[in-house]
Amino acid sequence: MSDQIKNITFNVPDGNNFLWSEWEDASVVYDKRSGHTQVLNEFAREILALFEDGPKKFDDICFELEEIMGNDLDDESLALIFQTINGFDSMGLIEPV
Amino acid sequence: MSDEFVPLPAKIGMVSLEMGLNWHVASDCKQYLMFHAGVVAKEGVGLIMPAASGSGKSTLAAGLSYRGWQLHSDEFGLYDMNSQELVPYPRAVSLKNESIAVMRDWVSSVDDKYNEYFTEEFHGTPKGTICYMRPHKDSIDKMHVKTRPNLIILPIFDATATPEIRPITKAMAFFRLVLSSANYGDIGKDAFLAISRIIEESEVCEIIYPNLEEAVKLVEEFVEKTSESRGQL
Repeated sequence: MSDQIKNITFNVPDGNNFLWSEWEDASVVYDKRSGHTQVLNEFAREILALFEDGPKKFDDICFELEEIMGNDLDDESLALIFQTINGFDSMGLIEPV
Repeated sequence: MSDEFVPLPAKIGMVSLEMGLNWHVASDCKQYLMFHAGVVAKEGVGLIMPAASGSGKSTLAAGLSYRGWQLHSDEFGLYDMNSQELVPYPRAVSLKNESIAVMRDWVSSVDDKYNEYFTEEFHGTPKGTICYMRPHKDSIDKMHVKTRPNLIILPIFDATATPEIRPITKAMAFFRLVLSSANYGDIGKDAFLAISRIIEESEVCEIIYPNLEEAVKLVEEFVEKTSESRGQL
């Protein structure tokens, strides 16, 4: 994975293309454009929701998550966010602006 | 789905017939959302048991059908997305290898004429020895009676296991249904919505069992345990 992804602004192409089923333990999203189905845990669901609110970079996501959680993110969380954004990009759930 | 057909000797032509029937249903019954699953019903309970070949789902579905359950299918769960019901397809049950003796024993305990229900054994098939079993008369009589699904059980056979009901998440049950579906990808959005609805309305679990008797007990136990919550769905 390249660190370049941290400098890219991503957005959700068209949130109307997503269908959601949400349960207490996880969410499942169906992308009408690709026909693919993905399962997201609560953390990943929160990150995708932030992208659904508008275009953002890695730092924007980290900042907003710190606001939500009320504390600084540790290295493990930062790595997880990076990995999640990279995964979303691979799955086509987000795309560069 | 691969459309390559493997020639079989005439002496196991019955197996070819079954494979042809399976191919025909999987490729032509596109009005249904199809699950590779055992499906049974009883008193308002529509139970789907998605599982891979060799998991014992045929034996379990057939076993339940000789203990008061209506056999929808040991192989194909057919879900009508319009009526939101499971459609019975009670064709002959395909029993393989060790499960043949298990089912002979199981049926003989409730019916003296059990031998009439089984075909001869076909040896040397691609899946080993196969024998076909006629579904219980009640399942044939009810073959037009559909049921709304409201229970998902993932069966796991392990001869050394202690019988156990294990909780699973709804997300896991959702994906097991997706993975077991023969035409989820072809149907797309409506299949996603249909499976979401099934999961929403269902209680879900996994059972691990060492033999048929224990498996039937676990299914009945889970049905009893969830009777109140299913009523509220």
